[in-house]
Amino acid sequence: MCLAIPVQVTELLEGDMARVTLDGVRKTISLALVDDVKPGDYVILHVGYALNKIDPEEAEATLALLAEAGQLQGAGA
Amino acid sequence: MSAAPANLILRAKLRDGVVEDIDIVSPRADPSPVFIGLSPDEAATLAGRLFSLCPMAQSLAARAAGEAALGIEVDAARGRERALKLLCERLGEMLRASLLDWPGEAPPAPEDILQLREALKAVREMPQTDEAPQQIEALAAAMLGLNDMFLRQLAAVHADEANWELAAQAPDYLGSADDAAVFEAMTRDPAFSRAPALPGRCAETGAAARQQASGGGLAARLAARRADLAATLDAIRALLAGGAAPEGLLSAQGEASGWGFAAVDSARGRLYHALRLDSAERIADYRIVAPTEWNFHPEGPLARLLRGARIGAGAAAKKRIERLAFVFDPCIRACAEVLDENHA
Repeated sequence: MCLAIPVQVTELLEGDMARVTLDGVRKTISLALVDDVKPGDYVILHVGYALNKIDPEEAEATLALLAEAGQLQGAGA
Repeated sequence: MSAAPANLILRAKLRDGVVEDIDIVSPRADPSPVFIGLSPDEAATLAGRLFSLCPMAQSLAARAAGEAALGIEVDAARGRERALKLLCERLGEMLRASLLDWPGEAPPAPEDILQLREALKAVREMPQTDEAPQQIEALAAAMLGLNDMFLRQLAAVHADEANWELAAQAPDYLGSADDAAVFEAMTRDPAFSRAPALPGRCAETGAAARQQASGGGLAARLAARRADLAATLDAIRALLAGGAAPEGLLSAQGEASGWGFAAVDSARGRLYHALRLDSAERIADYRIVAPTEWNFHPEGPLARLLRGARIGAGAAAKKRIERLAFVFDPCIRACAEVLDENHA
């Protein structure tokens, strides 16, 4: 199962591309499948493409839950 | 925790161009524990935003499992609304995977991306609009626009067909008739979710299973995916014209013990959710079995096709394994690693 990890767009680039920060690593992604993304927006990624835009509150809540799930995995769950 | 989704690793040991063994290493994210303590309604909402792929299937599976546990009946109108959402999502997911996940020689063509964008817009809007007939025509046009992409993929597969040979295995498809056995197994054993298997079976799920494709390897499964896309479009048309949803698209059952169970035929195959409610109607236990876990089980259908297969060497062997993985449609990127024992 692929968890929906929100990533924040930091910069728009030419050719429908954007820069995001994922796990402290800067990465270039494609925005070709989504509309109206601006720097600061959160998107869900799959194989280098933004799949959809999500609101910041939802992104924060999901990140918190995923962190919790990560701790559970670390404990062998 | 690393936020970056890891890849599904397919580690093949080769000798003289033949796969001696295949080791499938899955990062296996299982977020089920985060559902504990929630109400069924909260779980359904959460499931819809916790997964990057098939969020509608995940959310409706959670919702249906919760309703089954509570003994809530779903009326026909609601059932049809859900069926439309599920079929639209399935079509969009299959189209997107077909374009973005294909291990090709080059990235997807910009014109194909544009067609995909149109198709995804149509499937997103269709369940929420009164203009579904217009949307379905836009969707059909976008799918037609992607036809060349499918033909290129099929041509690439056929061009390489004589260079490798899979271990022959008759397919064993998972279907709605197996739901009761899966439910029993997943509630009995929490570890079942990680590596599901039924006694004496080597179950495969997904487009080939829905199409009951008659065996074969890569080309047959690729053709089955195309047929399944067309069948899903037909099913949406039929539903909009007042017809019934495909059998087994969403099924649910509850037990007096407090367990509720739901199965959804999602893009990548049968997705199962099971939950148990406590006396306060909060979730005390939650289990999910994802389609990828059947197809990429260490002793599952992909592994069995590859063990003993003659697949060549080096980069060509790696690409062949990745293309085979593509037709089994994992929900995360599959990367092959080839270890040639002749050069070890």
